[in-house]
Amino acid sequence: MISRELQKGVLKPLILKVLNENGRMYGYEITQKVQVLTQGKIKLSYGALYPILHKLEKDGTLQTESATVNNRTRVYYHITPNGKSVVKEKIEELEEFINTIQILLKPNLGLDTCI
Amino acid sequence: MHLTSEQISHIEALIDKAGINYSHLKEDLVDHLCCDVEQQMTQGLSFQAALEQVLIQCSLEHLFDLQKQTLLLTNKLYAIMKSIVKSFGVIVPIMITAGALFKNFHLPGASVLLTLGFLLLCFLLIPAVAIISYKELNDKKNLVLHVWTAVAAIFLCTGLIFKIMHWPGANYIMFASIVFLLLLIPVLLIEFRKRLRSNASLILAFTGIILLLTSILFKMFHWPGATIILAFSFIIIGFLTIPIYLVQANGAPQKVLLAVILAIYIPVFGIVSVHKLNYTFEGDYKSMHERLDQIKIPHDFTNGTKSFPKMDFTNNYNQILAEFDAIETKLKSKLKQGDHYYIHSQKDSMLISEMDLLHEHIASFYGELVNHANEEQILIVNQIKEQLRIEKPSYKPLLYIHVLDRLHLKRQQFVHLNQLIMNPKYAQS
Repeated sequence: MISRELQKGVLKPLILKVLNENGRMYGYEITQKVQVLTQGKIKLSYGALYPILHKLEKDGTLQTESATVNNRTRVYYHITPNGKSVVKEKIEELEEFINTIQILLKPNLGLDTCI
Repeated sequence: MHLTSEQISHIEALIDKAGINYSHLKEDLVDHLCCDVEQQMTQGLSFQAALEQVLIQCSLEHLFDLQKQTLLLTNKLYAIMKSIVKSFGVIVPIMITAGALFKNFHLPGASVLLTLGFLLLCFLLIPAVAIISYKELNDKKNLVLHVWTAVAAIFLCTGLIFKIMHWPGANYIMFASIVFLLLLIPVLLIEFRKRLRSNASLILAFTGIILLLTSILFKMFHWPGATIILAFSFIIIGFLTIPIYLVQANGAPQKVLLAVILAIYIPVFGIVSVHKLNYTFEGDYKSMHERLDQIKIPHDFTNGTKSFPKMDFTNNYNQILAEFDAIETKLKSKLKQGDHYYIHSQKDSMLISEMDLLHEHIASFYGELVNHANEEQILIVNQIKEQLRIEKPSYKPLLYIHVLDRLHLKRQQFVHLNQLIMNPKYAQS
């Protein structure tokens, strides 16, 4: 399990990436997908997932549609045409972040060699 | 394995109970919980066991917090109000408490702190809390209730500050707020019962608050029994409600803290509002005047055209003061100590204390005295007037200074009194 503190900032790009690759998805499906892809290391809680989804919907990055499945209403989320650029931007930002962190973590590089 | 319609409605009822109603969050969560439960049931659990398992990981309180988080991210107004409450919720109580302390010890700045504190409370904090609560509940039916509560709270706080600062009209505002609150309580009780599981402490708390408000109302109209009702409300709140609440709280730190705060604030509020703040309407002022008129003033003092010119204003100062003391004692015995009275002239009304009124009466005797003073005496009076920079041609302020000087009254009281006398409209009345 990766700690919540570390997860916090990467959840939004992560959710966007999953949605971008799979098209239309509902909440539970997203948590399952993330869990499978990360081999259970990242588990999205209700409290982490839905505020982000609603915020993205409000910003116009996502759109929802409802369908009745198994006697209940299921809300599907998908990325809007306008949202595509946001996805690209967020993922690039995340990649840059990961690369930067990697530079810091590489042995014999960074701080030690500077001194 | 799929859930039956009944099982789905059971979960829907749970989500309703958690108070989830923002946008399509309810549909999201019902579906998600159903999926989780189905997942658990595939491992052989019964519906009930599976649901319990899911709820352990994600409680109903947690779901309500989730809705708050969503609101915070998606609703700008809600986010702004939240930050207002976070910052001013700390500043305003500190300001008011500091103001009250300053006032108690007669330190400068008390009025500014209190007025500013109450102003922020009335027109920033209370509306912000009402907006937050309304947004969180997200129910159009609650709009009237929220507006009503906010207005009642604003009225109550405005009334309190008017009362503390002796501004005119305080009693009418207080009266309106208490009527508002009393009408509100039954509605609130019904609303709260829907949401809380156990309601023993709730009903007791509401009974206590109703009694508390009633005792203030009794006090306002000078009906007998205000203190007894207040005592009853304290017994109910202090010995029944708070202990029961503490037992129910089961040691949850937030709830214990709330109980402690309530245990301190309610008695303070009750005692202060019933005993320290005096509620006197117009009628009392008239009756008080009647009482004053009954006092017989020594004939030669008020009407003593013969005796006064003989008296040397400067040399007989001590004699005058002795007379003054005698009249003061008499008047004091007739007035209710600590009461405040409204003085109504044609266009103006003003709140004065029993002491102010006393001095006004005494000063008017001195006024009589100076009217009969000889030229030399008037010269002395004028000299003192110049020294004190009294511009208006009136002896009364000067005489006040004698009185006040003797009583060591505070400057503010003097200014207040002086205004009263300098006001020609008042002088006529």
